[in-house]
Amino acid sequence: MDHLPLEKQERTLVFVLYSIHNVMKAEKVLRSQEVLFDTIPVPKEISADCGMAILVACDNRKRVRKMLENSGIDIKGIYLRTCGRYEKEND
Amino acid sequence: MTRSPGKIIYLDHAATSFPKTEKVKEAVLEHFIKYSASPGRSGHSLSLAASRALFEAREAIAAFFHVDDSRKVIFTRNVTESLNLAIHGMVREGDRVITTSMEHNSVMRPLRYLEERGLIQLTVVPSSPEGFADIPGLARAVQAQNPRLLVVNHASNVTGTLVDLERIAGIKGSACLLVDGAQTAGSIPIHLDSLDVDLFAFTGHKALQGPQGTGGLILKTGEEPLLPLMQGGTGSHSEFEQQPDFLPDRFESGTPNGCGFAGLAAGIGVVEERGVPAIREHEKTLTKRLLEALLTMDRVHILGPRDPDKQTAVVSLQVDRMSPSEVGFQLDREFDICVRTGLHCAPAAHRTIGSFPQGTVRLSLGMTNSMDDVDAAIEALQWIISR
Repeated sequence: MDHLPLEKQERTLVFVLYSIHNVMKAEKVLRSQEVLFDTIPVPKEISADCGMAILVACDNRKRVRKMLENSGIDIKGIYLRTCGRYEKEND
Repeated sequence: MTRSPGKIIYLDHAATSFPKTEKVKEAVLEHFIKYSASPGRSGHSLSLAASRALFEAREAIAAFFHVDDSRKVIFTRNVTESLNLAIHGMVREGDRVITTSMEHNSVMRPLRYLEERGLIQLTVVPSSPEGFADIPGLARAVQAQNPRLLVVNHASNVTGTLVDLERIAGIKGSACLLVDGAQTAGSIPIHLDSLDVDLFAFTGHKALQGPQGTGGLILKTGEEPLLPLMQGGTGSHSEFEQQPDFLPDRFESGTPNGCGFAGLAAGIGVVEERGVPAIREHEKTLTKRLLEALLTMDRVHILGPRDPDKQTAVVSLQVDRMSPSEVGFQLDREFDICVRTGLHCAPAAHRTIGSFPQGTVRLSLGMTNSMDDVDAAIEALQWIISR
């Protein structure tokens, strides 16, 4: 399943961060670690914010979270996306 | 003396560095042509490209000044805005502020404005006639007054006189130390990780070789009780009518100068490629040559330290029986040599060094100047004073 492009995977994770700066920093960190990701608008189901978020495969949950936290990136929320529905992950 | 037609010798780098290198021009143009959309405002590809360019510029500046987290780099239009953000954002009614008599009006005017409105008590500690800060005097003032803010420049824009920031940091007590780095960022090595400076203001268009309209304020911790100068759209927290409280958005409202900061990142790249220590050595060599020649000239009086080790590549002078503007006009019209004359937006500094109100002729050198440029200026000045 995970070899599919992210947008076609049934279950993915959306990392919502504080500020576009954090999103750009996350891009840099994930790119340097060769993690597959996409930068998407924050889904309206999650927030009315007009910012951007980071989409990754479900299997990368722990790894990505650790990478972002180690880089000083503040995570506002992590959401499981399943067939267009979003569910907030517990901390 | 004959002039070379079409060759302009630019000796006004303390105001704005010129010419900019090809890499800076290309970076500005590429941004302008290919992706000059609003960063952080939309999800489309061009907005993201603009966001990435702004992020990379912030990362480049943080790395250049040895700052651990680029969120502490707040972008502004220039050092004047940076200093205003720091001054107006830090002081509260009834606070005491201490500064030196060598400050530029970008420091003096906001401070005098607050003083005139009865909001702060301002103490200006006189510097020496060469422009050196009176550090024991500043220490006594700090001890006696327990100020909120202590403001000093890293080097004077009039005489180039350098201030020992380590010593200043050692006497600041509990005051917030704001440093005006307009004249040193890019020409003197600055390691903010090993300096106890709370707020560092810089501009992009001088020795950092960037375009005009770029500057910044660097925060030591990001936890300073600093209030923003402006509120407005940031692209973040758009569902709220209140300003976001996180960095850098808290201090950056409105669409930024994306092309400019792309150019600034390229400028910093050029400076890093050559190396600030190498640039400093080059400028010291040119300054030494200029000072030595000027010291032999009758009618010419140099103001400031007269020592390349104790100043930036800025030399201020006066000529007997000629006004600074007359000397500057002849250098420009007859020799195509660009210098700045007058008070350099620093009347307090000129009062300190004894050149108020007539001012001085200021020759300020940059990394793109050569020894030939300096020799041409020396020859032109000799010609002007000999007739």
